[in-house]
Amino acid sequence: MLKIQVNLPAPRRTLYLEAIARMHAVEPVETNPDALVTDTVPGPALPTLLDRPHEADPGLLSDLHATPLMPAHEWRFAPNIIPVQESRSCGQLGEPGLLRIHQWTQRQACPATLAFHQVDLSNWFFPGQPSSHYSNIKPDYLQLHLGYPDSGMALIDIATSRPGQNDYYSMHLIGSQGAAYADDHENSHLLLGRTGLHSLISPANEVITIRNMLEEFVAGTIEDRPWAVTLEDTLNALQTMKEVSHA
Amino acid sequence: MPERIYRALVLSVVKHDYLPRAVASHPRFHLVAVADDPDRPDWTHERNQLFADQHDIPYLRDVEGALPDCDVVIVSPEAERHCDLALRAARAGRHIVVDKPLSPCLAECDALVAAVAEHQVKCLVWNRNFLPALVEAQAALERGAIGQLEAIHCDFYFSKDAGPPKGTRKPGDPPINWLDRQLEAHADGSDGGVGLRPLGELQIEGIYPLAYISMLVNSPVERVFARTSSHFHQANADNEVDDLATVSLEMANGCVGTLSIGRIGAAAHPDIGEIKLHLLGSEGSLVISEARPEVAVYARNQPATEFKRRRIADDNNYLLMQDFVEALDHDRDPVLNASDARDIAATVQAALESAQSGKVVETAR
Repeated sequence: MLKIQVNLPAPRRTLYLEAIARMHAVEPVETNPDALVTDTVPGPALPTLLDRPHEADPGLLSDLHATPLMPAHEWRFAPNIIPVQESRSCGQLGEPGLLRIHQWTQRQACPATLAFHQVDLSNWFFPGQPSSHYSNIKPDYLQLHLGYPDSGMALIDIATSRPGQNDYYSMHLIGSQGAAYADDHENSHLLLGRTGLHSLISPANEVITIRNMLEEFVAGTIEDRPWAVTLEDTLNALQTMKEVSHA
Repeated sequence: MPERIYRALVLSVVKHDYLPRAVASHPRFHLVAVADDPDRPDWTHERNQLFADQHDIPYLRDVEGALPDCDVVIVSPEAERHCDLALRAARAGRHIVVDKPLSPCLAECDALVAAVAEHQVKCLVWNRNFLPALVEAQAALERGAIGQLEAIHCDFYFSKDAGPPKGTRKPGDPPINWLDRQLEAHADGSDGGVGLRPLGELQIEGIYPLAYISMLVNSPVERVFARTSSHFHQANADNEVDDLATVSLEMANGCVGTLSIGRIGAAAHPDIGEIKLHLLGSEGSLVISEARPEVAVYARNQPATEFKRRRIADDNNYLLMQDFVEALDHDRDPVLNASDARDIAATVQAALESAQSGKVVETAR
């Protein structure tokens, strides 16, 4: 039984505890943990899952290479992303050529703060860091156009403070042998009510996402192996964001 | 008084024949002949003759000789000859329906735009702006359903193959000849780039999504940033033209946009391809699938090459020709005229320059 202490404020804490409750051989504790979930940069001690790594100081992160730390790149573990990555990694799609992402949300947030995870997906799929970039940044809108050394290209479109009651996410990856489409448009339901026809889209299941991520964290901890996500990945995505914002 | 029937002369029909067939199917047009220059290669004469025979009209190897006996020309030759034939028709005072792309050469486009204006003829450049999904998108914008349009994104992928996959050429084998490959492609109708000059997907098909954007935004593209690659097909790699591209767009009215386009291979989509529009407005958003409405059909022993979802209610051909006939009747511009298409060609040219330089490029005005 691996004892995990979740040192996060609500609502993230609630989300993690709900995910842990769905897992075997993991127990949430408040003292004497075997591993930590936290959003503050830890000391070199217990295995740690660092929530919101993009909000940490990159300078501090750079000094943590000796620390047993898995950054929480949760989008890599989202149910709609996993089949795309599995197809890519087993070669089913061939050489990745084009990644297209739309993320539209009602949240009142600076789009650049949401871009970290989408940029990380892009750097992960291609992989590496882009060699060319273009951006168009507005208060509620961010458009990124990334080019990778092996001719890969990515278009990322993030809009915040959107009107209405639904968020929207769409992603596709075009490879030389095939393509994967993960698109809310394909997954929408219809509600025919008194006020006409509306589209219903179930929000991405965050608990499953967090549980998937925790499973990797727990497995890496128990097996004493490197985690699938590293600080290098975090720093790469932060570096891309920095270059784009200064372009 | 009966409505005037316009006599239509087909000026070369050497790739797929959808354009002259679309014109012929409209009740206000009547095909009178096919014409082409006498010095064309044998394969062009053969295809022209075949179409003429199918429609029981003469094939004349004399363009200038045929022009006086028509009101409208339908220009559907190799892509690099579009402007030349259209220009000659304009100078003869004939209205024009020309296949896409207008031309990969901006100077040729400019010459055609000038001739169309000087000789006061109408010129419709072929497009898909009257597909049901586009008509709906346009209507939604016009009634203010999403407020002021702020961003527009278009995916335009044809899931077609184009000869051998990239990386399959054996050492010592010669590069694929572009024209030979396009002549082969005639069998399955994927020969949109037929001609001597190799053309990338952006040059061949880019006009379709860029025409959507042009219609919906109604503001010229000022600056672009683009990436291109030959990602899928050996013919494209051998001839150094793209089959996959991304373009960021900045419009004069402040709207921004992107285009992703590719000939992504038959395995990459169950139907003809993913073609989609994402629109962000000040009051809402719109996601449009260009293929819809469609009906799905699945069956035992269904051929692998058969599309499982079939488009329905596609009235694009009729509506384009109806728009054109109204332009002729009422002396107004058609939905995509030579000047609009010239501006799209300028966007494509700027995108190719950007992809080459890695820099943002302003479109040529």
